[in-house]
Amino acid sequence: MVKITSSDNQEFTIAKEIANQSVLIKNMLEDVGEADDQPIPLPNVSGAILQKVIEYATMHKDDPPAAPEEETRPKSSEDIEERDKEFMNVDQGTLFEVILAANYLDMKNLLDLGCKTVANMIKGKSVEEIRKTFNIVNDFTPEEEEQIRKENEWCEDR
Amino acid sequence: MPSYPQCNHSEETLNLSGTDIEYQTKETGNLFDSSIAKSSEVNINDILPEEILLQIFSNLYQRPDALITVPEVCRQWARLLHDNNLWKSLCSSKNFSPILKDATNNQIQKQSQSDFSQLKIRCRCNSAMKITCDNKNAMEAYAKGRKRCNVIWKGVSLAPWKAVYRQNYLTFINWMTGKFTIKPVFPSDFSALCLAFNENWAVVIAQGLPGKLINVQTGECHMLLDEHEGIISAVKLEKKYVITGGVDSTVRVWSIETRERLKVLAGHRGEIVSIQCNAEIIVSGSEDNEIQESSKPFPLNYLYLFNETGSIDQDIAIWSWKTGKIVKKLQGHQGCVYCIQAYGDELYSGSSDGLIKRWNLNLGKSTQNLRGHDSGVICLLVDSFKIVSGSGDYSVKVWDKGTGNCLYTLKHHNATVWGLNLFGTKLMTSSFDTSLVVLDFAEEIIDE
Repeated sequence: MVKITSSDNQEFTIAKEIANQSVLIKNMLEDVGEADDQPIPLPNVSGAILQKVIEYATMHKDDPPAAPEEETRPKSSEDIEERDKEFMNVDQGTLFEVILAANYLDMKNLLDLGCKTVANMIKGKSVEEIRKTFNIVNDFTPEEEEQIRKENEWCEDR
Repeated sequence: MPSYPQCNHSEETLNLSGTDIEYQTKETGNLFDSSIAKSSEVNINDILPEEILLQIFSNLYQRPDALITVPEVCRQWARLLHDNNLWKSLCSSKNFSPILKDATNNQIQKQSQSDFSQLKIRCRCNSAMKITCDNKNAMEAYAKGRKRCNVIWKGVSLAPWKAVYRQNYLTFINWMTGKFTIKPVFPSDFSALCLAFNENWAVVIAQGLPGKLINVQTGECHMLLDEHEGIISAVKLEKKYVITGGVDSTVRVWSIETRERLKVLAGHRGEIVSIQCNAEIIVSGSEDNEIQESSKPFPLNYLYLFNETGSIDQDIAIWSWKTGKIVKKLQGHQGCVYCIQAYGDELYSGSSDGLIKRWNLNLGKSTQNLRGHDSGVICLLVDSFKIVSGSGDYSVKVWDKGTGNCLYTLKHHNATVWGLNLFGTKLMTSSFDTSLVVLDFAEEIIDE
């Protein structure tokens, strides 16, 4: 078993095969060795988010390692597993934090899942809808907006 | 704060050096604090570093519509969407590679101007866009063909890989909608019949004359294939070699470089009707109902390439190289099977019953019938998104591989369509009307 602590000092005890899904923790464990009973501090992840990340790692602990041919096949943001979709059905603040945590903990699959989820939130939306969804302020001058539209004309004759 | 790895901007291919972007590392305090604002107040750009934004955008490769919306959102996103590496990754996800305009185009064009001015070309794409120009100069048809490519790009400087994505995407759209330019290589009153061809070479035969290997770009005869007794009945062009089979039941291998005949393969007792080969083996099919290999030991990974054979008895047999026995028979066609193409775990077959059947090789079952040809389907091509078929009804049809719907019908031949080949953005078609034609689905795009 492996002990980890969050930024707000919550301690979690998890199985090694779950902890090892994070390349960061895996490397740390290799560095300090098995014998060390000290909890691993993760100062960049809050307890609430760490809980969520452990939930994901537990759900995927029995996944087979990615087959070589699957790596070459282009990933599509459409093919998200149903259970992952369910897992990512959270408010945006949590979603972004999970993405950041996955990036920090070096969990490629979770980071991919997060990015796909956000990409799916962009798809099929108008510029205004995207701005609203992600709270982005339009900082273009009218001239710049015109210029960008011009650059995009190639795509519009579909 | 975690440190984000810097993106690597090295360019190794084709000198596509792009605009470099200065990445901003976020210094926004403790983002991981659980007191973070809830969704309604979260600005994505304040939270996610640009490296992750880029990764999100790279998931949009299937959606050009989203890719054009993203840069219109805000300055930062517009700047990120000029990232050459992002476009490189989008291209790689789509299997897009740079479309190079080759030198052969102009030569073919010149040739068509001088030699084939009396060419008849009928070129009908779909009912909405009709072009007919019988008995007119081929160049006129060519010019009209050009006008069809109405995708216009008003150039602004781009990341090179963005340009690659654009070219490929527009070419894809041209394929789906049937916009192309058309150029003849051999006219329909050519004195010989083109049996096999690729981008560079064509093998032509004429009654009573030896077979000829013709340089497609110059139109000149490169060498005579003059050893068969009787006419050549099957040809395979393979890199530096020509392999011919004749009604004399022999198979002969010729070197294009040295213009010599290298080998004679005998053993069949009937006319040779089909030849396939790879680097290791040559497979020949004959009217004596046998298939022979002329081979050294063959590696297993080639198994897939040649392990299906079409036959005159309406079935498709799948053979095992290891045992030499038939492992599966695909039954369902009402006529003889003229052509087969494997793609992934699917097989496509064309038959004299006018149908193209899609088979799932794992299930050993037909999963779809593509209907539309009024006569037998003689030749087939399959790639990632389309199926091209040539038929005894004189037409070439292009089908959407995803849905199986016919996208459009090309009627530029006046007789049975005999051969099809895809080279990059070009489709070459040959017919019993003796013509060989190049359709280019990207020329207009690259020109600009």
